Formats: sequence, C-alpha cells, structure tokens
Amino acid sequence: MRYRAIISGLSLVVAGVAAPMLARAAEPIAVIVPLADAKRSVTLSDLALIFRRKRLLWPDGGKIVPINLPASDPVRRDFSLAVFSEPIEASEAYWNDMYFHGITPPFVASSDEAVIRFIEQSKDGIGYVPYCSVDRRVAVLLVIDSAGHPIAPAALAPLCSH
Amino acid sequence: MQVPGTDLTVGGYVTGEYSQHGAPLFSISNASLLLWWENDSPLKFFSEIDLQRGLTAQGSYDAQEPQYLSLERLYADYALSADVTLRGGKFLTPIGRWNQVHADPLVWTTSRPLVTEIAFPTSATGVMALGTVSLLGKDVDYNFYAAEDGDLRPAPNVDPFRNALGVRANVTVSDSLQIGASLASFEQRSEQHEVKNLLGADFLWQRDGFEATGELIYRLSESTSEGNERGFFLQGVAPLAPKLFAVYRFELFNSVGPIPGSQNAFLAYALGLPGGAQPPLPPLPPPPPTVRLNIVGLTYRYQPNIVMKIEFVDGSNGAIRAPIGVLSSISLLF
Repeated sequence: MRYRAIISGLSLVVAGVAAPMLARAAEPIAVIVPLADAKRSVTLSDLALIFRRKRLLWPDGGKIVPINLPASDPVRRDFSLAVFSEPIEASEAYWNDMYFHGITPPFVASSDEAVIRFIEQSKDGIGYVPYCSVDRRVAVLLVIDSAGHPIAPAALAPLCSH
Repeated sequence: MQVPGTDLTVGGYVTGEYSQHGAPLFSISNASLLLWWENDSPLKFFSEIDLQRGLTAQGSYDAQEPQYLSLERLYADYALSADVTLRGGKFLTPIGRWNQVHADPLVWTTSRPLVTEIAFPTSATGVMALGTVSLLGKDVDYNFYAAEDGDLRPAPNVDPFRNALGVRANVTVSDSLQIGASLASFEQRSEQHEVKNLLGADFLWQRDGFEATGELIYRLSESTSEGNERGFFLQGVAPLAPKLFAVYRFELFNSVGPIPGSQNAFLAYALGLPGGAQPPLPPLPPPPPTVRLNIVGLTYRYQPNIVMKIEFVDGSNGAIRAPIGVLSSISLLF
C-alpha cells in the first residue's frame, strides 16, 4: 500500500515534469534571425548545411553565426530530427571528424530566452526556438514541425495565446 | 579548447601503441597538436604538427620510422562565398576518405589501409577550392586542388608531390550513404617526369551503429618504367555492446604491376637479338608484389574522444610495409 502511494506520487511528479516537456517538444519550431536580416530566406537543406557548419556565409557575404539549444532540450532534439533526420547522438562522430579540421559545433545558448537575446544582438546570427516563444525582438524566417515540414502562417495563428 | 581572450583554439590527439610483429614495441606513435584561429571574418588559419614515434620503448623498427616532428598541415582559408572557400598552404590530399580523417581516435583500427597512403603523397602544398553545393537535391562536397614542389617539412617516409592537379567529390546519397570519387594527375619528387594518373572511388554507409566503408585506387603511370598500382579495402563495423565494436577489414594492394617494356627487353636478350652473341640472361623482373591483408579487431569507445583498439593482422606478403601481427592502441582526442 505504502509502495503504491509512493509510486503514485512519483507518477504525478514525472507526469508534472514530462507533460510540459512533451508539449514543448511537439510545438512547431521557429527559425529566427535578427530583425535586420528579416529579408533573408532559408530552406531545410540550407539549415542542414548551416548547422553542420558546411555553409559559412550568407549570400550577401556575412559570416553565419548559428546557435543551438542544449543537447538535452527536446526542441534541440526535434530540430535535429527535422533537419538532419537523425538524433543528436548520431552526429557525435561527425563533429569529432570536423574538430580534426578545426571546425567546432555551433555555440549553445542555455534557454529559449538566451537564444532570442543572442540573435537580437548578433550580426548574421541564426537560431531556433519553440514558435510560441518568439516575440518582436527577432524575425522568423521559417517555421517547421518536428518532421521538418514547413508550416504556413495561417496554421500558426491559433497556436499561441500571444 | 579556446584560449581565453583570443580567437585561438588548441586541440590535438595522442596515441600510445603496442605492437607485436617480431619484437614487441611500445611507442607514443603520434602526438599531434592542432592550433587554429578564427573570428567573425571570412579568414581562418589552421595548423597541425605531429611528433611521430615520440617515445619508443624498443627501437625495433626505428630505422624505418624514426622520431620526427612533422608539419602535417598549415593553411589559410578564405570563405569566398556561400559555396566556395579558398585554401592556400599545406593540406591533406583529398583522395579517398581515410586520408582526410586519419587521426587515430577517429578511425576504427590502429593500422592504416595501404591504399590510403602508398599510392599517393598524403599531403600537398598548394591551393584548393572547396565547398558544398546542392545538385539534383543532393549535397555534394567538392575539392579542386593544385600543388607544386616545395612541400613544407614533409615526413621522411613521404615522397612529396613535384606537381599535382586533382579533384574530389563526395555525394550524400541518403541519410546513411555517401559516395566519393577522386581524380588526380601528379609527379613525385623522386621520379620527375613520371606522370601518374590516379582514379579513386569510395563509400561510407552508416546505420544504427553499423558501418561499412571502402576505398578503391587505380594509379596509372604514363611511362612504362613505373607501372600501375591498384588496390582496395573493404571494412565492416558491428556493435557488440553499447561502446564495443567488432571490426573486420580486407585489403588487397598490388604495387608496381607488370612492366611490358622490361619483359620485351628480357625476350630480346633471351633470343640473342641483336648481334647474335648470347649475353648472360638478366634476372626476371620480380612478380608484382600483391599484398592481401585480413584485419580482425575490437574497438572500445570508452568516451567519444577516448578509443582503445586491438587487432590481429594477417597478410600474405610482408614485402610492402604492412605490419603482420597484433596491434593495439589507446588514443585520446583533446
């Protein structure tokens, strides 16, 4: 009986933690840039090249500064599946190879807010956050679901209260 | 590791190797230091120096591979556009896949496939254009390069380019498969005016911890004195436990092939032509040394940057540098 109560209590705690995480993971992902760069455009394959650091420059010559969420963040994991069609762990060997050529992975910001602040103040930066975290400090270039499919603006309107 | 307050990054790798082919030998086979500078400009500088055979417990094959501080790479990159980067300096020759990521912690075996280092100089000093473009919906990594004599501090066991022109393309066919092709035409310092044309093909397949890779080289010489050289390897990797992998590789390497010119000369001698006098027979040209190697090993990736390996190498011809016996190593990427 006592164990059942403990398990039941633990279940509530786990559910309390996991539910927002799952909801966060299922949310569309917005690819963001500084407001000054709102006229740029990217495709999913561009994102793959940029976040693997194979493409270094924007078409206008600016040096691209990509920024990631932490590896444990569900949105980072969704982004990896959407853009690279593989989990984050699968890219470990790739980054070891790249390190041998002096190429390191993109910087990591600790939270959505940190990504937005970095992009707001950066020149030529690009990052991603859950769509509902976006505000007027940054411009959205593309919104994708966890399968990597672009989402039309009309479908996004009902998603976020703001 | 970034040097605080600068745009410099320092890294490297070190490998301790224990081999038993003939006398046992322990050595620090490679101690490599990477140093690069990069800021928000399109310019980047990169260097790698490598202390080879830095510490050797028993010098059984020191005569072949003495201690040496080698300048592996030293170049500047300039990102010209989204698709093109220009490189100038000393860089790894973009032929095949292994040569470009040959660092011990990044490969599955202690020994290196013959075809990845004997048929061509492993580094070049010159200029290169490289980048990634999309063609027919596939990402294509490309390298165009030209090299001249004047290789910066080459390793003593390398016969550097006298001149070279080459191209390589690597196509990402799917999430799990890449296919590459390399073409090069070059002369080496020891055999000037001996133009060699090289064709290479390679692939890499990876899925769920399994991996298959292979490289094929065919090198033709325009004159008849050098002959052709060809070989390939096929390697498979299978996970046995979360960090433990079984590795098998088969290699076939045929160095300098039959020499038609020499055979014709030999026939002329044997038939007493011209002049009628019968000179003493010259020795027959040696048969082309074909090396067959089977490598069976285990690799334990304790951490992504710490790798332990042991392998048994069995070969049919030891004439070409191909250690036969047991090789083991521990490598650290830092």
